[in-house]
Amino acid sequence: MKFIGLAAIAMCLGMAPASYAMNNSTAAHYAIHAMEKLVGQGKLEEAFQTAFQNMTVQADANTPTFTVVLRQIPGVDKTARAVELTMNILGQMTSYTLVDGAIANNPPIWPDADAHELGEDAMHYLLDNVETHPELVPFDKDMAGLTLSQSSMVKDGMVMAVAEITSSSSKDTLRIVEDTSGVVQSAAIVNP
Amino acid sequence: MHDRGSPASSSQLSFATIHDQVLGPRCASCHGNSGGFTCGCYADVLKKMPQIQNEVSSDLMPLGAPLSPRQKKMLLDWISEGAPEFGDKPTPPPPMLLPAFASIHDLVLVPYCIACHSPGNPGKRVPLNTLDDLLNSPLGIVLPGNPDESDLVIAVRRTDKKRMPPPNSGVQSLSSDQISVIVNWISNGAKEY
Repeated sequence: MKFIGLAAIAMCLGMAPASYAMNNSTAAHYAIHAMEKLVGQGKLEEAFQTAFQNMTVQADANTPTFTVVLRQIPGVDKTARAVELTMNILGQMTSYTLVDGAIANNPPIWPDADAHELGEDAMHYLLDNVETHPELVPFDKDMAGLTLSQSSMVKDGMVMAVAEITSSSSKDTLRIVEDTSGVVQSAAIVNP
Repeated sequence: MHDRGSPASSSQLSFATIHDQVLGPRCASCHGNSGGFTCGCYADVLKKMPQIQNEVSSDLMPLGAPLSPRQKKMLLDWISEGAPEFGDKPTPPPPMLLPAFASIHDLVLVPYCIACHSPGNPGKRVPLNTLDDLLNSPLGIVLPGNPDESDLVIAVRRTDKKRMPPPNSGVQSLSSDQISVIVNWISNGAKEY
């Protein structure tokens, strides 16, 4: 009982094991994996992977938990099917809620990696580079969201993808351009 | 070392056996038609023999996940016997997959998963080399007693392009028998032995 109490206090103080230290971007990254798992189990439809468009992440320091909402491309009535995941500070999904909306209208057809993988690869870029690029810290620590769209750039005849990551502590946007396999072609911090 | 095609002395494994049990499952995904040599070609393997012996001995190859002790012994013994193309030693039966971590590690995780799911490789964020990696991941890779919620089972059961190992990796999917053993192991508590 005493151990459980200490563990609870440690969790409230944010004393997660170092390897699972959570901030917004790591929670968002685990949420992408959790969504993939739900699709694999048949609990969510495949369109959450193929028609993924954006995600938002918000930390609740009191609980402490993270709420991550992943949305599909909106339907004709502008509503979007979404799933709201609650992540604990160990990166585990503790609950999910499906938010109803219209079927995605005319999502881009990505020939290699699907939309969900392109979003995940953009997250990998951020997580892989934040230690050596301090300018990425606001997008890592205070990530607010990620939006995937088609780029105006073309490689080998294929329209490339662009993932834009926003931060609650910066007005700038991290813009990551990927080829259709999810290989990052360029990344830049863009001022408004 | 024997000349190509020369008769082998007794009790030697053949190149075909070494290919079927070691080179094919562990090397062909990179050294199939690229990566400097083709591991299915005896002449290519002979040319690279010193390098293969050195890098396998020191666990530099295969990248990310060394051979299992059994595979390593088979390959190095074959090399020390002169790496004959033909041998008359009966092909040893492949070891049986058992519902225990050590067996699943050597016969599933190492040949199918660890080349990617290890430090420095594309799946580095989801390492699969130790029992701790499987039991203590935030992703719920193995949840003892609950195979249907375990990501390992979910991923290998998929039949679409998201299945693990990925279709474009060159690594074949797990057989239903292999998946059954993993499910059995997790159902019974995912013990080490």
